[in-house]
Amino acid sequence: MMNELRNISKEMLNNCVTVEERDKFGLINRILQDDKCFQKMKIQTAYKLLSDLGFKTEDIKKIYNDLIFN
Amino acid sequence: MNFIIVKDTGDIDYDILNTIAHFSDEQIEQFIESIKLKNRYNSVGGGWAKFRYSDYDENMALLDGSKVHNRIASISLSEFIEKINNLFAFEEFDLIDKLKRVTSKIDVEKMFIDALANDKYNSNFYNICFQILKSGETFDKFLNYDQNFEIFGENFTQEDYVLELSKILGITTSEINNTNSIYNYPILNQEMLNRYLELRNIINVDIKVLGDEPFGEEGCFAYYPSRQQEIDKDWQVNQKLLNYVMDDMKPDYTLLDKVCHIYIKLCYALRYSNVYKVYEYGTDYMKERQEAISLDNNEVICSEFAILCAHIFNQLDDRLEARCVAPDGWGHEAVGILIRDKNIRIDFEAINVNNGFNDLGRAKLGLPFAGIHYICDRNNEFKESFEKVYNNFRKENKVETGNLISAYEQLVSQKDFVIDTSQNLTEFVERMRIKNVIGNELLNSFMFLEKIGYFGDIKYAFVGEDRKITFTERTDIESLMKFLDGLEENIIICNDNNYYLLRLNDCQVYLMKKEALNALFDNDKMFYIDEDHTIEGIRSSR
Repeated sequence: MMNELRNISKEMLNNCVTVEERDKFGLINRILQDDKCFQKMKIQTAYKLLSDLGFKTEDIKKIYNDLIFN
Repeated sequence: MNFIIVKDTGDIDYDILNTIAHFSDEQIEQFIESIKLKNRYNSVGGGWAKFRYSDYDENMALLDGSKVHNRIASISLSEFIEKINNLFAFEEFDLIDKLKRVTSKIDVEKMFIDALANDKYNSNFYNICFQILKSGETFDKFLNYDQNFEIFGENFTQEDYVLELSKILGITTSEINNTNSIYNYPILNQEMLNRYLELRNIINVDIKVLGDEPFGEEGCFAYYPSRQQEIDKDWQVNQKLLNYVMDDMKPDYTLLDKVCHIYIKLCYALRYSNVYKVYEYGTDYMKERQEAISLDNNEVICSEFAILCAHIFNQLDDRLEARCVAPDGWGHEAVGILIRDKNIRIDFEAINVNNGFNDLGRAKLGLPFAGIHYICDRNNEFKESFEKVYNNFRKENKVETGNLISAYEQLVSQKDFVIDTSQNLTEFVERMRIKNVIGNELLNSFMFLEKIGYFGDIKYAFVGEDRKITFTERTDIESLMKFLDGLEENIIICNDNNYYLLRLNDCQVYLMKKEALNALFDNDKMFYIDEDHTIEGIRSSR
């Protein structure tokens, strides 16, 4: 799952247009290098990060649970 | 995101999201007319006009109700259009169609020819500029410039045309070697854009840009002449700071690598000072202030950084010349370097005011820098060098994930997702049961997840069942251990007047009525393990 997120993040970083987007996805890219990153951030931050990666709200909870419990 | 566009006369305010959305078709036409400006060509910033652009903070307002601007920057019309273009990605409002109409209605040819004539270039010159991009025939002739003087005029060179085209397109000279910035340029069709890019590859405008005044008006930043003396003044960089910056420089580094290394290390070591420092001391050079900058006293303002950085650069090599430069001649300062034998001109804007996230912060987080302006780096020598050195630096200075997460939290919206306590408690016990996690391990898991907010906004307290004698009443180790072994420890969780009982020994969670919990306490079937940590409204029997 983490590798999948990394790939999505990398693709989104490559497609950024604005500086703000590049900043955000640059950060996400680096955060996701840490296998344990989701254990280190608040659930709200994690939900927002998954939302930024393009996941729909209804899928975010399941993905997050899989990340946090596995 | 919001835009406030103020035409440079300052007489019209456009709040794009809130105002244009309510424009009638007729008003949109008026708006379009208003941005078809005549005689507003600005030779410094490029584009046809300057607008002020700002984001404002939705969560803040001044006492008079006006909005608080996060930042204000001057942008050219082309940037303005690009920003509108970027908004299209949101596709949420019906105003998108209206905004698209704004951009589609701009008559590029009319703007080229009518708007731009000035003392230096007449309208015919601009007509040719447009034809070079529009007509394949004129484009081909332009490539054979020497045989077609009669069309292009003996007074002008190919470089004149290409440089002027760049300015017309709103591309400042700092961006000329960074063509990425124009790929999304919305008012040229693809064919015209391709021709421009081809010209940029063929015609070397570096010579023109570097010219006799490499730090002058042709560059992104105006040369700050009064600073040179201050850079060269006989003052000493703090020795520990200098050692920190220079000591781990790799022996095989080239001159360009060394420049990159110094800039990165300075950004890593220094912090941006609060604005009060400017008010207190001003931006004038003070020897004591420059010499006092150290690893401990590391807060700087833009001018201090520029003077310090240029001073160190100038000690490196005779081939390199460093200056303080200032955007548009106002108070903000950056460092410009020139390496003439390589045709390289770079500006370093460490404390980049038009971007809230400056290079001092970016270095510490290992993020891409935003303050390096490639004025001339035609062969990407500097760019490649910078990437190499920064990658080395990032490998050696592993950034804590916690810092990255904090930085990310600063960037994202404050809007919170709804956390369903009941659903997450159920999910938690189900997942834990599958893993056969109970007792103390379950307790640890609960506390960890509570810390990251997994259960939402809850209060919790530890309770025991069927108390015979409290923990604190036991004194001898043996009975204490027996007590702990046999203890049925549970957790009461409260969220918005909903009460849950989490049983640790069998990993079950129950939704409880408040009365039922109170009855358990009243009947001495339940007690708080720690009387100092209780749930309000759930009484202890003691």
